[in-house]
Amino acid sequence: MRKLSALALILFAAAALYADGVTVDQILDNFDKTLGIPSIQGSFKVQLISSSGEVREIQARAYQKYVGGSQINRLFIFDFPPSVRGTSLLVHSFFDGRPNTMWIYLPAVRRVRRIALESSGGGYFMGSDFTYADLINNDNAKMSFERLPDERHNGVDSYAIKAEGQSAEVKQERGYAYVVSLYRKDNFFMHVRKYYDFNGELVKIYEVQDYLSLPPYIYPTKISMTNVQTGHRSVLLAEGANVDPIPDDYFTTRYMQNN
Amino acid sequence: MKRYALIAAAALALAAPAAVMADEFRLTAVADYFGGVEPTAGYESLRSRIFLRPWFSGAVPGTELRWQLSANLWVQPIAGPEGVSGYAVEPADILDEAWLYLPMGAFDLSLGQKPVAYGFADVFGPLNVVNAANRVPLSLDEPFDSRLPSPLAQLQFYPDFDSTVELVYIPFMRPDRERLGDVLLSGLGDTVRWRRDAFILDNPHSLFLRYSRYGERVDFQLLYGWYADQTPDFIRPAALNATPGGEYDIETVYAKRHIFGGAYAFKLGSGTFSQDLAFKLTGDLDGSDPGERNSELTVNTQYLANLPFGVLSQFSLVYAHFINHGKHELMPGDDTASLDYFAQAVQGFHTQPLQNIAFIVAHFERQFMRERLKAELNVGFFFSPELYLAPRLSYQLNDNWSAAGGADINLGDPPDAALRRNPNDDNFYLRLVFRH
Repeated sequence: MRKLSALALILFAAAALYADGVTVDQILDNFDKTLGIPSIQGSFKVQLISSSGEVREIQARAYQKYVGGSQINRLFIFDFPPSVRGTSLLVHSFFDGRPNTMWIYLPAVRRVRRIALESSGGGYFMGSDFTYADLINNDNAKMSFERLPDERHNGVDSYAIKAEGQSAEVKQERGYAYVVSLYRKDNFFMHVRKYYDFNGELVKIYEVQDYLSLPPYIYPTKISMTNVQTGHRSVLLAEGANVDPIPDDYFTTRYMQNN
Repeated sequence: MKRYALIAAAALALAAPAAVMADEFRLTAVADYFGGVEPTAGYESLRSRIFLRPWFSGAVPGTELRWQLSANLWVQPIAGPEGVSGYAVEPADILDEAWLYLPMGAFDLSLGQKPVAYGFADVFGPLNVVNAANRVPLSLDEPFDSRLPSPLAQLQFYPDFDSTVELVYIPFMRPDRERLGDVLLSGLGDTVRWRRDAFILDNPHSLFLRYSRYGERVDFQLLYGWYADQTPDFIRPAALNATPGGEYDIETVYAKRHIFGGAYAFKLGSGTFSQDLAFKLTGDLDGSDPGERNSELTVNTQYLANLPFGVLSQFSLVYAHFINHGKHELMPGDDTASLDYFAQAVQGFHTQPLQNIAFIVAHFERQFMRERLKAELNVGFFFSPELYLAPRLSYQLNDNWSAAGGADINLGDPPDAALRRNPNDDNFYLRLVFRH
């Protein structure tokens, strides 16, 4: 009898948990819609903050454009510090299973090169706590999702979804065992993500601290990434966001070399 | 002193209007010191350098025209074994880049002096023949002054977003800058007299045609060039023998070559695979002239890989075949030993010591302290007891200043060639860099 009661309690709790009828796919689809800005450009700064409080800064111009339904093109042109000024990174990302394509232009050698930076240097972007995978959309087809109990973070009610690679290879490629993401219930925007290593330990926390609302789109303008294991923190600040259409020729090697 | 004052005045005359009109100004300043640690020679000061590169760029108001101007200004308190006159600042050395750029729809036009890089290989790229090499620096990976920009007209046509058709015309090539004074070939008693031309005026007109495409799966380039080789050949003396009283001055000459080549690159695993191939056709296809460079086929296969523990690595396998190598002809008045001696000296100079050569260059780098500290190691393996090691360490002091140090070490005996371009003397360097 006691066992039956326990089972009934579990089933009831599970039903209550998802009584809102919102599925993982609905949450993810609605989140994707918030990010689907056709074109956006602006400048951004990444502040690298050490555990002692020392701050270094990287500055770049960024351009992003959706191409068709399955491709995003991104261009980053670095302006500061002087050691990387003029370096540019062009990324073509795909959502239909095709691998991302990346090129880098190095002004010192006047050459455009194809690269696989995702795993270079541990995959960290210019020494920050962001990885290239954090900055570039990933293909959800290789991930498994599980809805977790809702959470309240900084006063914001959120859906919680756990995502992990479907294979050891995918997990290795991403660099994490799994992530838990929180999506605001009021607009499905993903505002927190927690990364867990292969020991199940929390590695870092991604948090959107400010965003620009461009209905139906939302664009994060201040993102912090805190490595809880090392005490490092990086803050990405987007400035001067502009949604005017961007010509397709911006996302070419010609533009990289001449701008 | 008057000469330096004139050079300074010329530099100021160039820089002043640029400074006023520029939209952007940059400055690279370097101070470095090289010490020789060759076991057989003991310790010696090889070189110190104070180098400035001011850089200006701007746009002509109301037009799409853009311009760029930069200069190389350097003094050398310690000039090494060559003495004070080893490599002084020549007027032609001052101007680094000076060019205009005009985008015109599907075309780009650039006019002036600028560097142009072909191929995907980072080291020993067989397609990278447009710009002359500066053989003076002591490090094989000299970051500031290793290539000499060429005066050229460059027209690029973009039929679509991924492709480029490019035509480059160079009226006068610049010769490689050599590091040696006149050389006595002891086996002959003849002396090689190097030319000090700033431009190769007696063999004008060089053309390059390239098609390139950066695609989703693969990047590739196709190249044809007809050009005056920046590396000189040697006019063989009337008679190659060791007879006393028959000493000649051996002059250098710059000859035309054809180059047919291509390169491709694609993602392979977690890295990038690329290959550059080039066939260089010289006037000495039959190999009969001991003073001229042999035609050659060169392949550079490169893999950029991400190793565990955050180590970025690059492996380059270079293979070259020299056509009709060793087929130099005996002429009346020659003796075989002298002919072979002369041919060997020239082949060593052209890095064509054997009919087939192959070597591997491996590069490893790891960044620490959030990319503030970078450790690198270059290794050259020549399928022989010779091994080249070049460790490097650099530290970013702040956004503008960095410090670096490194060494070039050759294990095994250096080649015994009188005209060898790199003395392969072991050395170390210390460097301070400022960037604005």
